Amino acid sequence: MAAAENADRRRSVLIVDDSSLVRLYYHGALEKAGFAVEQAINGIEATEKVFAHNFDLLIVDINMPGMDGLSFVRDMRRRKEDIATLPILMITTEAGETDIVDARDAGVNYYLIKPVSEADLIRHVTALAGTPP
Amino acid sequence: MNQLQEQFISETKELILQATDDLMAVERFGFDAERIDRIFRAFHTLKGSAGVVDLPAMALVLHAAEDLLAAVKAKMRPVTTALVSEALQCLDQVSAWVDAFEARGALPPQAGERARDAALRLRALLSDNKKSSGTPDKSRPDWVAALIEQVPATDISAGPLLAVDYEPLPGCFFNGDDPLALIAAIPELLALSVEPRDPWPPLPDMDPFACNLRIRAIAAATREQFAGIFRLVPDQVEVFELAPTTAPAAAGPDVNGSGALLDNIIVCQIAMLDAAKAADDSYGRYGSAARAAANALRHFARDDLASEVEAALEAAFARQSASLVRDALRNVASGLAAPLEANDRETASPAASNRSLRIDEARIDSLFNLSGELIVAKNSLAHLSRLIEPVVGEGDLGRNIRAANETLDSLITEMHAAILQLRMVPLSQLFRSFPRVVRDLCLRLDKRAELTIQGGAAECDKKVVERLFEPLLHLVRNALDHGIEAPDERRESGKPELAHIALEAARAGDRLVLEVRDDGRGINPAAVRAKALERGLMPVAEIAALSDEDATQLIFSAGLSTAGAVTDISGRGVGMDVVRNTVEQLGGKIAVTSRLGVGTSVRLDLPINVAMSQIMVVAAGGQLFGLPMDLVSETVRLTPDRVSRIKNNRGFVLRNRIVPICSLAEVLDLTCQPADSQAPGLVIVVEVGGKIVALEVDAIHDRLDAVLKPMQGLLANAPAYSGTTMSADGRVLLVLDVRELFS
Repeated sequence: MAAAENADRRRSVLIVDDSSLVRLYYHGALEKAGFAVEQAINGIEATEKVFAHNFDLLIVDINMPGMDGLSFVRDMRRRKEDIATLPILMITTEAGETDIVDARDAGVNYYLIKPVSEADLIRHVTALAGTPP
Repeated sequence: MNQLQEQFISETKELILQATDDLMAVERFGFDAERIDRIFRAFHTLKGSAGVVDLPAMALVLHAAEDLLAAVKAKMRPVTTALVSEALQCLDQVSAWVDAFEARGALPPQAGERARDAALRLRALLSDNKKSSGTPDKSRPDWVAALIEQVPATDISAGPLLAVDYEPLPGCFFNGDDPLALIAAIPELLALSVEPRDPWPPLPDMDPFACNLRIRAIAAATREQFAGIFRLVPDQVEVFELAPTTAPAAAGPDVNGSGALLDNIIVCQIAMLDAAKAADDSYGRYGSAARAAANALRHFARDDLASEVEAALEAAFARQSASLVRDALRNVASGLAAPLEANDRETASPAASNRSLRIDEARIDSLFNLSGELIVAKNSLAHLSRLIEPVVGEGDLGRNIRAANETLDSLITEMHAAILQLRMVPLSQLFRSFPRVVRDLCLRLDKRAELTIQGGAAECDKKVVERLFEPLLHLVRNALDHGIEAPDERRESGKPELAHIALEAARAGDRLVLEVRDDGRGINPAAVRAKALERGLMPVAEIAALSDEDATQLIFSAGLSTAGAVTDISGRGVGMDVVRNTVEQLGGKIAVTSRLGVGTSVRLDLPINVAMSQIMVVAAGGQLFGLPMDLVSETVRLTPDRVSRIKNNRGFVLRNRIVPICSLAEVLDLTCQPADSQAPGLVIVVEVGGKIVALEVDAIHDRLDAVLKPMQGLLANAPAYSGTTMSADGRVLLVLDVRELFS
């Protein structure tokens, strides 16, 4: 049902990462691939943006000052309908077994370990955010 | 060499051949989406497997070529001769590297440098075009992502951001370049990586004066600043912009994408649902899982399954039950497995149509040797059955033994033929590289010629096919270089500008006839005669007596055709004697026919398999020897009065030619009683390397079909013998290598 509502517009993605370079890099790549892109530097700013926009996918880092990625995801999953059900892709340098388990417990839909190449980023984001009909 | 590497080598060779064929077809017949796609995929696979066996240099070149072909595929770049030449050269390089890798397990030391140059050339073709089509942006390579991770998470001004890839030339220090100083000059350097361009060689091989570095950096600098810093080494630097670009290209459904990602996504959603601990996030959890799964399913064009998941989500919302979504996802996961398999089968089917089994050549050879020995064993049984007949008389026993022997005989013969068949390969394998040869030579010589190939389906023993490549290459090259005239010369003499070279094969019984024919200027017999005279090849009178046809055959003699000797004669050039030698070693014959101004044809007449030989058994010095029948032109019984003595040598006149006589026993250094000069001598006239010699023997016994076993162990180096076989009565027979004997 969410997919049907969004059918008439570009897919839109929020990048939540404290590194401006990473945001810039993802932003450029995703925009080139046809996505509408917003950025946030931590969970707090991301929460604001999530309420203001209609996203199809959130890309979230773990380690961020202010509000970290896992707390943000746990919080998201307990929000109202459209927001709680947003697919979340976690991209982080934390590659340990426990990190992945923690992310899964928090409600992350997919997990990628940095560095992620442009091609891989696009491949995963287009799959998870869906294809505009 | 491990199995993976072996697989890599055979697969790569096949892909190179296929891509070569396709490239030339595209050049000739123009853009063909299917062919272009096949070429692209071949390069893509080659690049991938080069990465798998860890040959970065090879992957680098192929990557550049792949990008170029992607542009062709997207019709952003026309198919030109220059482009095809570059792509073919790239394949040549890769092919040479694969050979090196096969031989030594590594690429040659200068591979990295070569790869760079080749990649630059390929990229140059690509960027030229990009300028013209107005899309200056290059897609950012994968290393950029890795480098970005090095940058501390400080906020940087949203100015221009560039990534630079700088690979100093190995000889850069001698050009006065200082890579370190250049990098130090970059303003706002954010991240830097310095790594060896090629793996460091072992210490003794290392050249401390060669630069083997790849330097990559990210900086908040402008393109102009970069251009200024690297102005002296622009060819060694690639710059990528990191700032967001605004060229949206819709991401279409990834129908061809591998199903692995889809599988992973579904499995992750199930795992995430299983990880649920609290109830208050259950709604967001299964909701997001269903959305992510449905998105992915639609993306991979599995709308049916996506609808299934979405329906389950509606029901789950209504009943507040996460398990409905989980069950639906489990269903999808198991449903994905089956249809995907079907897809795999579909993609595998083209390969299956040409079903073959790769077997190590050594195994076939050992099977072949065994079957050869079986024939020898069978021969002795035949001998025994003849011996036993008078003993047991005309009774049932004799008849049964004979019948059993005949059955065995026919079965073993059949089996041997079947094993020989295993070694047969179609000549198309041999012919495959010739269109390429003709194309390249035409470009180089500024000539226009078309090559037609016929009879590629004819089969021949692998050994023969392998040895034939060089001679055919000589013949085709010569035809183009010396036979075919330049286009304007052809026009003037009223011929079509496009010359014709034919490469034809046909099977005639157990012989294979190969013909290389051109419609060039032909061979001038007078010029050949003059050259033969100049070289003192034959006495004047003999040369004058030669018919035009016979004179033309002189092009095969060693004295006439060595390096460059004939290039000024209309007709053939270098190495025709080598061609003839190879053909003769294979037990074949070669002949040329030519008409001045009309064209030339060279015919090779070869045995289809080299393994089974007809042997003549002769006696000399009290021993028996085998003599290959294909060399024997005739046997002559000489009365003493026909033998004339010239100093210490003997000879006789055979059809107006003086033929020297050699005693086989003497040639082999066998102790024997001095030849009784009064007794009529028995000589075998053999033709070797254009010379005729009469071998004197004591007696000639029967002929036999034999499989030669190569000389082994201590005897392997005995040059006079080509192998052994067994005579019918079970004795070992040494078979003479007559060519070696008189070389």
